[in-house]
Amino acid sequence: MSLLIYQAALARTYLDANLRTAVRAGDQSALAEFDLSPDEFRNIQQLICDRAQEIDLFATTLQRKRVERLSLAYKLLRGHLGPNRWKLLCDRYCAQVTVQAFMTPEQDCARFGAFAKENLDPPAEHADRFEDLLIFEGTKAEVDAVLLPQWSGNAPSDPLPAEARPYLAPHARLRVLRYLPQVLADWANGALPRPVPESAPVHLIFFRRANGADVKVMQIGRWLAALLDRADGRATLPELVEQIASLSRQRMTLQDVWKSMTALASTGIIAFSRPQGEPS
Amino acid sequence: MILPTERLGVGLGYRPELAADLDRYPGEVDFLEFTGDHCFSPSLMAQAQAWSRRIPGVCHFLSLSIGTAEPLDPEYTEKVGEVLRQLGGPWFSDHLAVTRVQGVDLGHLSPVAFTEETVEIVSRKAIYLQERFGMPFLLENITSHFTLPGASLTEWDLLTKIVERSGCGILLDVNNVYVNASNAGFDPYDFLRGIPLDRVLQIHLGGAVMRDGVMIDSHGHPVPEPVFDLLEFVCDNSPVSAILLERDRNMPAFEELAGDMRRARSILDGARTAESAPAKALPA
Ligand SMILES: [Fe+2]
Repeated sequence: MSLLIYQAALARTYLDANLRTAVRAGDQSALAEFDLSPDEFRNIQQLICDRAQEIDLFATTLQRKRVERLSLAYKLLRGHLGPNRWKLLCDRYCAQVTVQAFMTPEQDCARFGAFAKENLDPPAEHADRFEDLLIFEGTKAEVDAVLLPQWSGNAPSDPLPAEARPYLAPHARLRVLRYLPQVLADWANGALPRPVPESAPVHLIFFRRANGADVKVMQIGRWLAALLDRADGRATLPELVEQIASLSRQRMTLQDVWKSMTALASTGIIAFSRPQGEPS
Repeated sequence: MILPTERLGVGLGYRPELAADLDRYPGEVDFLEFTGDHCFSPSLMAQAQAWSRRIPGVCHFLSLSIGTAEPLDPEYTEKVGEVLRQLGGPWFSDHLAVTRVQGVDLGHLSPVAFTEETVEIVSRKAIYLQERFGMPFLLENITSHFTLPGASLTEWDLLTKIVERSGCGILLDVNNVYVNASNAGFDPYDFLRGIPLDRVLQIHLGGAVMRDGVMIDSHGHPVPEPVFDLLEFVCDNSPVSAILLERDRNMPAFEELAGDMRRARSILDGARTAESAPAKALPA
Protein backbone atom coordinates (compact mmCIF):
# COMPACT_ATOMS: atom_id res chain seq x y z
CA MET A 1 0.00 0.00 0.00
CA SER A 2 1.42 3.39 -0.84
CA LEU A 3 1.96 5.74 2.07
CA LEU A 4 -0.46 8.20 0.51
CA ILE A 5 -3.32 5.68 0.41
CA TYR A 6 -2.51 4.66 3.97
CA GLN A 7 -2.59 8.31 5.11
CA ALA A 8 -5.85 8.95 3.25
CA ALA A 9 -7.54 5.87 4.76
CA LEU A 10 -6.31 6.84 8.22
CA ALA A 11 -7.58 10.41 7.80
CA ARG A 12 -11.02 9.05 7.01
CA THR A 13 -11.02 6.78 10.03
CA TYR A 14 -9.92 9.63 12.33
CA LEU A 15 -12.82 11.73 11.12
CA ASP A 16 -15.64 9.21 11.07
CA ALA A 17 -16.72 7.36 14.22
CA ASN A 18 -19.11 5.08 12.29
CA LEU A 19 -16.32 4.13 9.93
CA ARG A 20 -14.05 3.30 12.87
CA THR A 21 -16.73 1.05 14.33
CA ALA A 22 -17.14 -0.73 10.98
CA VAL A 23 -13.39 -1.21 10.50
CA ARG A 24 -13.01 -2.52 14.04
CA ALA A 25 -15.76 -5.03 13.28
CA GLY A 26 -13.79 -6.16 10.22
CA ASP A 27 -16.13 -4.69 7.61
CA GLN A 28 -13.74 -4.30 4.68
CA SER A 29 -16.32 -2.48 2.57
CA ALA A 30 -16.00 0.49 4.95
CA LEU A 31 -12.69 1.39 3.29
CA ALA A 32 -13.64 0.08 -0.17
CA GLU A 33 -12.81 3.39 -1.89
CA PHE A 34 -9.12 2.88 -1.03
CA ASP A 35 -8.88 -0.46 -2.79
CA LEU A 36 -6.94 -2.11 0.03
CA SER A 37 -5.81 -5.71 -0.03
CA PRO A 38 -7.02 -7.86 2.89
CA ASP A 39 -3.56 -7.47 4.50
CA GLU A 40 -3.58 -3.72 4.12
CA PHE A 41 -7.06 -3.53 5.61
CA ARG A 42 -5.92 -5.66 8.55
CA ASN A 43 -2.97 -3.32 9.10
CA ILE A 44 -5.32 -0.36 9.58
CA GLN A 45 -7.82 -2.44 11.53
CA GLN A 46 -5.07 -3.53 13.89
CA LEU A 47 -3.94 0.03 14.54
CA ILE A 48 -7.38 1.33 15.36
CA CYS A 49 -8.15 -1.73 17.51
CA ASP A 50 -4.82 -1.86 19.35
CA ARG A 51 -4.74 1.87 19.99
CA ALA A 52 -8.51 2.28 20.22
CA GLN A 53 -8.50 4.58 23.24
CA GLU A 54 -5.77 6.85 21.89
CA ILE A 55 -7.28 7.06 18.41
CA ASP A 56 -10.71 7.84 19.83
CA LEU A 57 -9.14 10.52 22.00
CA PHE A 58 -7.46 11.99 18.94
CA ALA A 59 -10.77 11.83 17.04
CA THR A 60 -12.38 13.71 19.92
CA THR A 61 -9.74 16.42 19.57
CA LEU A 62 -10.46 16.72 15.85
CA GLN A 63 -14.17 17.05 16.57
CA ARG A 64 -13.53 19.59 19.34
CA LYS A 65 -11.56 21.74 16.88
CA ARG A 66 -14.39 21.41 14.37
CA VAL A 67 -16.98 22.43 16.95
CA GLU A 68 -14.81 25.38 18.02
CA ARG A 69 -15.01 26.72 14.48
CA LEU A 70 -18.78 26.21 14.43
CA SER A 71 -19.05 27.97 17.79
CA LEU A 72 -17.24 31.00 16.37
CA ALA A 73 -19.48 31.13 13.30
CA TYR A 74 -22.72 30.60 15.25
CA LYS A 75 -22.08 32.57 18.43
CA LEU A 76 -25.65 33.82 18.72
CA LEU A 77 -27.25 30.46 18.06
CA ARG A 78 -24.97 28.79 20.58
CA GLY A 79 -25.83 31.46 23.15
CA HIS A 80 -29.53 30.86 22.72
CA LEU A 81 -29.43 27.10 22.72
CA GLY A 82 -27.27 26.94 25.82
CA PRO A 83 -24.34 24.54 26.24
CA ASN A 84 -26.32 21.27 26.38
CA ARG A 85 -28.55 21.77 23.35
CA TRP A 86 -25.64 23.27 21.41
CA LYS A 87 -23.50 20.23 22.17
CA LEU A 88 -26.28 17.85 21.16
CA LEU A 89 -26.78 19.65 17.86
CA CYS A 90 -23.03 19.67 17.11
CA ASP A 91 -22.63 16.01 18.04
CA ARG A 92 -25.48 15.08 15.72
CA TYR A 93 -24.03 17.19 12.94
CA CYS A 94 -20.54 15.73 13.29
CA ALA A 95 -21.94 12.20 13.34
CA GLN A 96 -24.11 12.73 10.28
CA VAL A 97 -21.93 15.03 8.20
CA THR A 98 -18.33 13.87 8.06
CA VAL A 99 -15.58 16.06 6.66
CA GLN A 100 -15.17 15.23 2.98
CA ALA A 101 -12.37 15.86 0.52
CA PHE A 102 -12.09 19.49 -0.58
CA MET A 103 -14.60 20.58 2.06
CA THR A 104 -13.10 23.74 3.55
CA PRO A 105 -13.73 24.69 7.19
CA GLU A 106 -15.85 27.57 5.87
CA GLN A 107 -17.93 25.20 3.77
CA ASP A 108 -18.36 23.02 6.86
CA CYS A 109 -19.74 26.03 8.75
CA ALA A 110 -22.11 26.87 5.89
CA ARG A 111 -23.33 23.29 5.78
CA PHE A 112 -23.96 23.35 9.52
CA GLY A 113 -26.34 26.28 9.01
CA ALA A 114 -28.48 24.21 6.65
CA PHE A 115 -28.32 21.25 9.02
CA ALA A 116 -29.37 23.37 12.00
CA LYS A 117 -32.29 24.77 10.03
CA GLU A 118 -33.59 21.29 9.31
CA ASN A 119 -32.88 19.78 12.68
CA LEU A 120 -33.65 22.49 15.19
CA ASP A 121 -37.01 22.38 16.80
CA PRO A 122 -37.17 25.72 18.59
CA PRO A 123 -39.96 26.51 21.06
CA ALA A 124 -42.97 27.91 19.18
CA GLU A 125 -42.83 31.29 20.93
CA HIS A 126 -39.29 31.82 19.63
CA ALA A 127 -39.61 30.11 16.25
CA ASP A 128 -39.43 33.29 14.15
CA ARG A 129 -36.47 34.60 16.13
CA PHE A 130 -34.55 31.38 15.67
CA GLU A 131 -35.40 31.46 11.99
CA ASP A 132 -33.91 34.95 11.64
CA LEU A 133 -30.91 34.00 13.73
CA LEU A 134 -30.18 31.09 11.43
CA ILE A 135 -30.68 33.20 8.33
CA PHE A 136 -28.30 35.80 9.75
CA GLU A 137 -25.48 33.51 10.92
CA GLY A 138 -26.08 30.90 8.21
CA THR A 139 -25.82 33.48 5.42
CA LYS A 140 -22.64 34.90 6.92
CA ALA A 141 -21.17 31.39 6.91
CA GLU A 142 -22.43 30.82 3.36
CA VAL A 143 -20.80 34.01 2.07
CA ASP A 144 -17.62 33.16 3.95
CA ALA A 145 -17.49 29.81 2.17
CA VAL A 146 -17.58 31.26 -1.35
CA LEU A 147 -14.18 30.82 -2.96
CA LEU A 148 -13.04 34.09 -4.49
CA PRO A 149 -9.62 33.54 -5.96
CA GLN A 150 -10.15 35.29 -9.26
CA TRP A 151 -13.54 36.97 -9.26
CA SER A 152 -13.28 40.70 -9.61
CA GLY A 153 -16.48 41.55 -11.49
CA ASN A 154 -16.73 44.17 -14.17
CA ALA A 155 -15.62 47.57 -13.06
CA PRO A 156 -18.28 50.03 -14.16
CA SER A 157 -17.19 52.65 -16.61
CA ASP A 158 -17.91 56.22 -15.69
CA PRO A 159 -20.50 57.21 -16.76
CA LEU A 160 -22.27 53.85 -16.87
CA PRO A 161 -23.54 53.02 -20.34
CA ALA A 162 -27.34 53.13 -20.51
CA GLU A 163 -27.39 49.43 -21.39
CA ALA A 164 -25.40 48.34 -18.32
CA ARG A 165 -27.14 45.32 -16.77
CA PRO A 166 -26.34 44.87 -13.06
CA TYR A 167 -26.25 41.57 -11.23
CA LEU A 168 -25.45 40.54 -7.68
CA ALA A 169 -21.87 39.27 -7.28
CA PRO A 170 -21.40 35.57 -6.49
CA HIS A 171 -20.16 36.39 -2.99
CA ALA A 172 -23.09 38.67 -2.10
CA ARG A 173 -26.46 37.60 -0.69
CA LEU A 174 -29.63 39.54 -0.19
CA ARG A 175 -31.79 38.56 2.80
CA VAL A 176 -34.95 39.81 4.52
CA LEU A 177 -35.33 39.62 8.30
CA ARG A 178 -38.04 40.55 10.78
CA TYR A 179 -35.51 41.41 13.48
CA LEU A 180 -32.63 43.83 13.29
CA PRO A 181 -29.27 42.02 13.72
CA GLN A 182 -28.49 44.17 16.75
CA VAL A 183 -31.77 43.14 18.34
CA LEU A 184 -30.92 39.48 17.75
CA ALA A 185 -27.55 40.05 19.40
CA ASP A 186 -29.18 41.79 22.39
CA TRP A 187 -31.49 38.81 22.74
CA ALA A 188 -28.45 36.81 23.82
CA ASN A 189 -28.02 39.29 26.68
CA GLY A 190 -31.54 38.77 27.92
CA ALA A 191 -33.47 41.49 26.09
CA LEU A 192 -36.70 40.32 24.52
CA PRO A 193 -36.42 41.13 20.83
CA ARG A 194 -39.22 42.99 19.10
CA PRO A 195 -39.74 42.52 15.40
CA VAL A 196 -39.87 45.45 13.04
CA PRO A 197 -43.32 46.26 11.63
CA GLU A 198 -44.37 43.74 9.01
CA SER A 199 -44.70 46.54 6.47
CA ALA A 200 -41.02 47.50 6.84
CA PRO A 201 -38.83 44.38 7.01
CA VAL A 202 -35.04 44.54 7.40
CA HIS A 203 -33.19 44.19 4.08
CA LEU A 204 -29.56 43.11 4.39
CA ILE A 205 -26.71 42.52 1.98
CA PHE A 206 -24.00 40.08 3.09
CA PHE A 207 -20.72 40.39 1.17
CA ARG A 208 -16.95 40.13 1.28
CA ARG A 209 -14.48 42.48 -0.33
CA ALA A 210 -11.69 39.97 -0.97
CA ASN A 211 -10.74 36.38 -0.47
CA GLY A 212 -10.14 35.83 3.24
CA ALA A 213 -11.83 39.09 4.26
CA ASP A 214 -14.49 39.11 6.96
CA VAL A 215 -18.11 39.01 5.89
CA LYS A 216 -19.76 42.44 6.05
CA VAL A 217 -23.46 43.01 6.54
CA MET A 218 -25.08 46.18 5.27
CA GLN A 219 -28.65 47.28 5.75
CA ILE A 220 -30.28 48.75 2.65
CA GLY A 221 -33.58 50.41 1.82
CA ARG A 222 -36.64 48.71 0.45
CA TRP A 223 -36.45 50.03 -3.07
CA LEU A 224 -32.77 49.20 -3.45
CA ALA A 225 -33.45 45.68 -2.15
CA ALA A 226 -36.26 45.29 -4.65
CA LEU A 227 -33.99 46.49 -7.41
CA LEU A 228 -31.14 44.15 -6.45
CA ASP A 229 -33.60 41.30 -6.16
CA ARG A 230 -34.45 41.81 -9.81
CA ALA A 231 -30.88 42.54 -10.94
CA ASP A 232 -30.10 39.37 -12.86
CA GLY A 233 -27.70 40.73 -15.46
CA ARG A 234 -30.45 40.84 -18.09
CA ALA A 235 -32.44 43.97 -17.28
CA THR A 236 -30.95 47.41 -17.87
CA LEU A 237 -31.09 50.05 -15.14
CA PRO A 238 -33.96 52.01 -16.73
CA GLU A 239 -35.89 48.72 -17.02
CA LEU A 240 -35.25 47.92 -13.36
CA VAL A 241 -36.31 51.42 -12.30
CA GLU A 242 -39.50 50.95 -14.25
CA GLN A 243 -40.13 47.58 -12.57
CA ILE A 244 -39.84 48.98 -9.05
CA ALA A 245 -41.62 52.28 -9.73
CA SER A 246 -44.76 51.10 -7.99
CA LEU A 247 -42.87 50.43 -4.72
CA SER A 248 -42.03 54.04 -4.06
CA ARG A 249 -44.49 56.84 -3.74
CA GLN A 250 -41.76 59.12 -4.92
CA ARG A 251 -40.59 57.78 -8.22
CA MET A 252 -36.85 57.02 -8.07
CA THR A 253 -34.90 58.96 -10.59
CA LEU A 254 -32.52 57.10 -12.79
CA GLN A 255 -29.80 59.34 -11.42
CA ASP A 256 -30.42 58.17 -7.82
CA VAL A 257 -30.27 54.57 -8.89
CA TRP A 258 -27.15 55.27 -10.90
CA LYS A 259 -25.42 56.68 -7.83
CA SER A 260 -26.36 53.74 -5.60
CA MET A 261 -25.34 51.22 -8.23
CA THR A 262 -21.97 52.86 -8.73
CA ALA A 263 -21.38 52.80 -4.97
CA LEU A 264 -22.36 49.12 -4.76
CA ALA A 265 -20.16 48.29 -7.74
CA SER A 266 -17.16 49.93 -6.09
CA THR A 267 -17.51 47.56 -3.10
CA GLY A 268 -17.85 44.59 -5.47
CA ILE A 269 -21.44 43.83 -4.41
CA ILE A 270 -22.71 44.11 -7.94
CA ALA A 271 -21.15 43.84 -11.35
CA PHE A 272 -22.42 44.67 -14.82
CA SER A 273 -22.80 42.31 -17.69
CA ARG A 274 -21.66 43.55 -21.04
CA PRO A 275 -24.34 45.31 -23.06
CA GLN A 276 -26.61 42.79 -24.76
CA GLY A 277 -24.55 40.02 -23.22
CA GLU A 278 -25.11 37.39 -20.59
CA PRO A 279 -23.53 37.93 -17.18
CA SER A 280 -19.80 37.42 -17.54
CA MET B 1 21.04 26.94 5.06
CA ILE B 2 22.96 29.07 7.58
CA LEU B 3 20.77 29.80 10.56
CA PRO B 4 20.55 33.34 11.95
CA THR B 5 22.23 34.04 15.28
CA GLU B 6 20.49 37.24 16.39
CA ARG B 7 18.56 36.96 19.62
CA LEU B 8 14.82 37.58 19.53
CA GLY B 9 14.14 37.00 23.23
CA VAL B 10 10.85 35.91 24.78
CA GLY B 11 7.53 36.43 23.04
CA LEU B 12 3.87 35.63 22.72
CA GLY B 13 1.61 34.43 19.93
CA TYR B 14 -0.22 37.42 18.51
CA ARG B 15 -3.98 37.60 18.95
CA PRO B 16 -6.11 40.73 18.61
CA GLU B 17 -7.20 40.53 22.28
CA LEU B 18 -3.56 41.03 23.29
CA ALA B 19 -3.27 44.44 21.64
CA ALA B 20 -4.26 46.49 24.71
CA ASP B 21 -1.75 44.69 26.95
CA LEU B 22 1.01 45.01 24.36
CA ASP B 23 0.39 48.74 24.47
CA ARG B 24 0.15 48.88 28.25
CA TYR B 25 3.30 46.84 28.94
CA PRO B 26 5.87 47.92 26.37
CA GLY B 27 9.09 45.95 26.61
CA GLU B 28 7.51 42.87 28.23
CA VAL B 29 7.16 41.09 24.89
CA ASP B 30 10.38 40.89 22.86
CA PHE B 31 8.80 39.38 19.77
CA LEU B 32 5.45 38.21 18.40
CA GLU B 33 4.67 34.97 16.64
CA PHE B 34 2.05 35.48 13.95
CA THR B 35 -0.03 32.46 12.99
CA GLY B 36 0.45 32.70 9.26
CA ASP B 37 -2.91 31.07 8.50
CA HIS B 38 -4.74 33.81 10.39
CA CYS B 39 -2.92 36.41 8.28
CA PHE B 40 -4.68 35.10 5.17
CA SER B 41 -7.46 37.39 6.38
CA PRO B 42 -6.74 40.94 5.17
CA SER B 43 -7.85 42.50 8.45
CA LEU B 44 -5.55 40.33 10.56
CA MET B 45 -2.74 40.84 8.07
CA ALA B 46 -3.14 44.60 8.51
CA GLN B 47 -2.92 44.22 12.30
CA ALA B 48 0.11 41.93 12.01
CA GLN B 49 1.85 44.39 9.71
CA ALA B 50 1.20 47.26 12.08
CA TRP B 51 2.55 45.29 15.06
CA SER B 52 5.54 43.95 13.17
CA ARG B 53 6.68 47.55 12.67
CA ARG B 54 6.82 47.93 16.47
CA ILE B 55 7.88 44.47 17.69
CA PRO B 56 9.94 41.90 15.75
CA GLY B 57 7.82 39.04 14.42
CA VAL B 58 8.09 35.48 13.15
CA CYS B 59 5.52 33.55 11.12
CA HIS B 60 4.26 30.15 12.20
CA PHE B 61 2.02 28.07 9.91
CA LEU B 62 -0.41 25.26 10.62
CA SER B 63 -1.26 23.53 7.37
CA LEU B 64 1.69 22.94 5.07
CA SER B 65 1.07 19.29 5.98
CA ILE B 66 4.70 18.58 5.26
CA GLY B 67 4.35 14.92 6.24
CA THR B 68 1.74 14.05 3.63
CA ALA B 69 3.02 11.79 0.87
CA GLU B 70 1.86 14.15 -1.87
CA PRO B 71 3.20 17.51 -3.09
CA LEU B 72 2.64 20.69 -1.10
CA ASP B 73 -0.70 22.31 -1.84
CA PRO B 74 0.24 24.98 -4.41
CA GLU B 75 -2.50 27.40 -3.39
CA TYR B 76 -1.65 27.17 0.30
CA THR B 77 2.08 27.47 -0.40
CA GLU B 78 1.43 30.56 -2.49
CA LYS B 79 -0.44 32.11 0.45
CA VAL B 80 2.45 31.25 2.77
CA GLY B 81 4.76 33.10 0.38
CA GLU B 82 2.47 36.13 0.36
CA VAL B 83 2.44 36.28 4.18
CA LEU B 84 6.23 35.96 4.28
CA ARG B 85 6.61 38.70 1.66
CA GLN B 86 4.47 41.02 3.76
CA LEU B 87 5.70 40.18 7.25
CA GLY B 88 9.25 38.92 6.66
CA GLY B 89 11.06 37.61 9.74
CA PRO B 90 14.27 35.70 10.45
CA TRP B 91 12.63 32.31 9.72
CA PHE B 92 9.24 30.61 9.35
CA SER B 93 7.94 27.37 10.77
CA ASP B 94 5.33 24.62 10.62
CA HIS B 95 4.79 21.24 12.24
CA LEU B 96 6.20 17.82 11.49
CA ALA B 97 2.72 16.48 10.85
CA VAL B 98 -0.04 15.53 8.46
CA THR B 99 -3.00 17.93 8.43
CA ARG B 100 -4.35 17.35 4.94
CA VAL B 101 -4.39 14.38 2.64
CA GLN B 102 -6.02 14.01 -0.75
CA GLY B 103 -8.12 17.11 -0.16
CA VAL B 104 -9.32 16.03 3.29
CA ASP B 105 -8.56 18.70 5.86
CA LEU B 106 -8.21 17.21 9.35
CA GLY B 107 -8.16 20.68 10.89
CA HIS B 108 -5.50 19.48 13.31
CA LEU B 109 -2.04 17.92 13.44
CA SER B 110 -1.83 14.15 13.03
CA PRO B 111 1.34 12.09 13.45
CA VAL B 112 3.68 10.98 10.70
CA ALA B 113 5.18 7.49 10.51
CA PHE B 114 8.68 7.34 12.01
CA THR B 115 10.28 5.86 8.89
CA GLU B 116 12.95 6.58 6.29
CA GLU B 117 10.18 7.25 3.78
CA THR B 118 8.94 10.12 5.95
CA VAL B 119 12.50 11.46 6.22
CA GLU B 120 12.66 11.52 2.44
CA ILE B 121 9.25 13.15 1.94
CA VAL B 122 9.70 15.85 4.58
CA SER B 123 13.32 16.66 3.70
CA ARG B 124 12.47 17.21 0.05
CA LYS B 125 9.72 19.64 0.98
CA ALA B 126 11.83 21.47 3.59
CA ILE B 127 14.59 22.00 1.02
CA TYR B 128 12.05 23.27 -1.49
CA LEU B 129 10.48 25.69 1.02
CA GLN B 130 13.83 27.15 2.08
CA GLU B 131 14.90 27.62 -1.52
CA ARG B 132 11.60 29.06 -2.64
CA PHE B 133 11.29 31.59 0.17
CA GLY B 134 15.01 32.20 0.77
CA MET B 135 14.47 31.95 4.50
CA PRO B 136 15.30 29.28 7.11
CA PHE B 137 12.46 26.88 7.75
CA LEU B 138 11.97 25.40 11.24
CA LEU B 139 10.12 22.15 11.93
CA GLU B 140 8.18 21.81 15.15
CA ASN B 141 7.74 18.50 16.98
CA ILE B 142 4.09 17.74 17.80
CA THR B 143 2.27 15.79 20.50
CA SER B 144 0.65 12.54 19.61
CA HIS B 145 -1.12 9.97 21.72
CA PHE B 146 -0.13 7.10 19.46
CA THR B 147 2.60 6.17 17.02
CA LEU B 148 1.86 4.63 13.67
CA PRO B 149 2.90 0.98 13.25
CA GLY B 150 6.01 0.06 11.31
CA ALA B 151 8.27 2.67 12.93
CA SER B 152 11.94 2.06 12.21
CA LEU B 153 13.12 5.24 13.95
CA THR B 154 12.47 7.04 17.21
CA GLU B 155 10.80 10.43 17.03
CA TRP B 156 14.11 12.18 17.74
CA ASP B 157 15.99 10.11 15.13
CA LEU B 158 13.35 11.07 12.58
CA LEU B 159 13.71 14.77 13.38
CA THR B 160 17.50 14.53 13.37
CA LYS B 161 17.63 12.82 9.98
CA ILE B 162 15.30 15.37 8.43
CA VAL B 163 17.31 18.27 9.82
CA GLU B 164 20.59 16.75 8.65
CA ARG B 165 19.27 15.96 5.19
CA SER B 166 17.42 19.20 4.53
CA GLY B 167 19.47 21.74 6.50
CA CYS B 168 16.34 23.11 8.12
CA GLY B 169 16.19 24.24 11.74
CA ILE B 170 14.12 23.11 14.72
CA LEU B 171 11.33 24.81 16.56
CA LEU B 172 11.50 22.71 19.68
CA ASP B 173 8.27 22.50 21.62
CA VAL B 174 9.61 21.43 25.02
CA ASN B 175 6.10 20.95 26.31
CA ASN B 176 5.36 18.52 23.48
CA VAL B 177 8.50 16.57 24.36
CA TYR B 178 7.32 16.43 27.97
CA VAL B 179 3.79 15.33 26.97
CA ASN B 180 4.96 12.61 24.56
CA ALA B 181 7.53 11.37 27.05
CA SER B 182 4.89 11.18 29.80
CA ASN B 183 2.41 9.31 27.61
CA ALA B 184 4.80 7.00 25.77
CA GLY B 185 7.04 6.43 28.79
CA PHE B 186 10.39 7.60 27.43
CA ASP B 187 12.90 9.93 29.05
CA PRO B 188 12.46 13.47 27.66
CA TYR B 189 16.22 13.99 27.99
CA ASP B 190 16.77 11.06 25.59
CA PHE B 191 14.82 13.13 23.06
CA LEU B 192 16.88 16.26 23.78
CA ARG B 193 20.18 14.39 23.73
CA GLY B 194 19.12 12.72 20.48
CA ILE B 195 18.52 15.81 18.35
CA PRO B 196 21.05 18.30 16.97
CA LEU B 197 20.51 21.03 19.57
CA ASP B 198 22.69 23.38 17.54
CA ARG B 199 19.77 23.59 15.07
CA VAL B 200 17.23 24.73 17.69
CA LEU B 201 16.44 28.39 17.07
CA GLN B 202 13.05 28.74 18.64
CA ILE B 203 11.29 27.12 21.55
CA HIS B 204 7.61 26.73 22.34
CA LEU B 205 6.89 26.72 26.03
CA GLY B 206 3.38 25.80 27.13
CA GLY B 207 1.15 24.22 29.71
CA ALA B 208 0.06 20.62 30.07
CA VAL B 209 -2.56 18.89 32.13
CA MET B 210 -3.33 15.28 33.03
CA ARG B 211 -6.81 14.18 31.92
CA ASP B 212 -8.11 10.61 32.35
CA GLY B 213 -4.58 9.35 32.80
CA VAL B 214 -3.36 11.01 29.62
CA MET B 215 -1.10 14.08 29.51
CA ILE B 216 -2.57 16.77 27.22
CA ASP B 217 -0.82 19.83 25.80
CA SER B 218 -3.55 22.21 26.85
CA HIS B 219 -2.13 25.62 25.88
CA GLY B 220 -4.35 26.72 28.72
CA HIS B 221 -2.47 25.91 31.92
CA PRO B 222 0.67 27.23 33.59
CA VAL B 223 4.00 25.78 32.46
CA PRO B 224 4.80 22.71 34.61
CA GLU B 225 8.11 22.76 36.54
CA PRO B 226 9.63 19.82 34.62
CA VAL B 227 9.05 21.77 31.40
CA PHE B 228 11.04 24.71 32.77
CA ASP B 229 13.82 22.21 33.57
CA LEU B 230 13.76 20.99 29.95
CA LEU B 231 13.89 24.60 28.78
CA GLU B 232 16.93 25.29 30.91
CA PHE B 233 18.68 22.24 29.56
CA VAL B 234 18.00 23.22 25.96
CA CYS B 235 19.07 26.84 26.48
CA ASP B 236 22.33 25.69 28.06
CA ASN B 237 23.10 23.47 25.10
CA SER B 238 21.79 25.23 22.01
CA PRO B 239 21.87 28.63 20.27
CA VAL B 240 18.22 29.36 21.12
CA SER B 241 17.23 32.77 19.81
CA ALA B 242 13.56 32.89 20.72
CA ILE B 243 11.25 31.44 23.36
CA LEU B 244 7.54 31.65 22.76
CA LEU B 245 5.09 31.25 25.62
CA GLU B 246 2.11 29.42 24.10
CA ARG B 247 -1.16 30.25 25.77
CA ASP B 248 -4.41 30.37 23.86
CA ARG B 249 -7.06 29.23 26.33
CA ASN B 250 -7.97 30.20 29.89
CA MET B 251 -6.08 33.42 29.29
CA PRO B 252 -4.86 34.70 32.66
CA ALA B 253 -4.13 38.34 33.49
CA PHE B 254 -1.19 39.65 31.50
CA GLU B 255 0.88 39.94 34.69
CA GLU B 256 0.77 36.15 35.07
CA LEU B 257 1.95 35.64 31.50
CA ALA B 258 4.62 38.27 32.04
CA GLY B 259 5.81 36.35 35.12
CA ASP B 260 6.37 33.17 33.08
CA MET B 261 8.02 35.24 30.35
CA ARG B 262 10.41 36.87 32.81
CA ARG B 263 11.34 33.46 34.16
CA ALA B 264 11.98 32.17 30.62
CA ARG B 265 14.02 35.30 29.87
CA SER B 266 16.19 34.80 32.90
CA ILE B 267 16.83 31.21 31.80
CA LEU B 268 17.75 32.43 28.32
CA ASP B 269 19.95 35.22 29.76
CA GLY B 270 21.63 32.83 32.18
CA ALA B 271 22.46 30.51 29.34
CA ARG B 272 23.89 33.42 27.36
CA THR B 273 26.09 34.71 30.14
CA ALA B 274 27.35 31.19 30.71
CA GLU B 275 28.04 30.81 26.99
CA SER B 276 31.80 30.62 27.42
CA ALA B 277 31.48 28.19 30.32
CA PRO B 278 31.40 24.48 29.52
CA ALA B 279 27.96 23.10 28.70
CA LYS B 280 26.06 21.71 31.66
CA ALA B 281 26.34 18.02 32.26
CA LEU B 282 23.43 16.07 30.82
CA PRO B 283 21.09 14.74 33.48
CA ALA B 284 21.59 11.04 33.97
FE1 LIG C 1 3.93 24.47 19.80
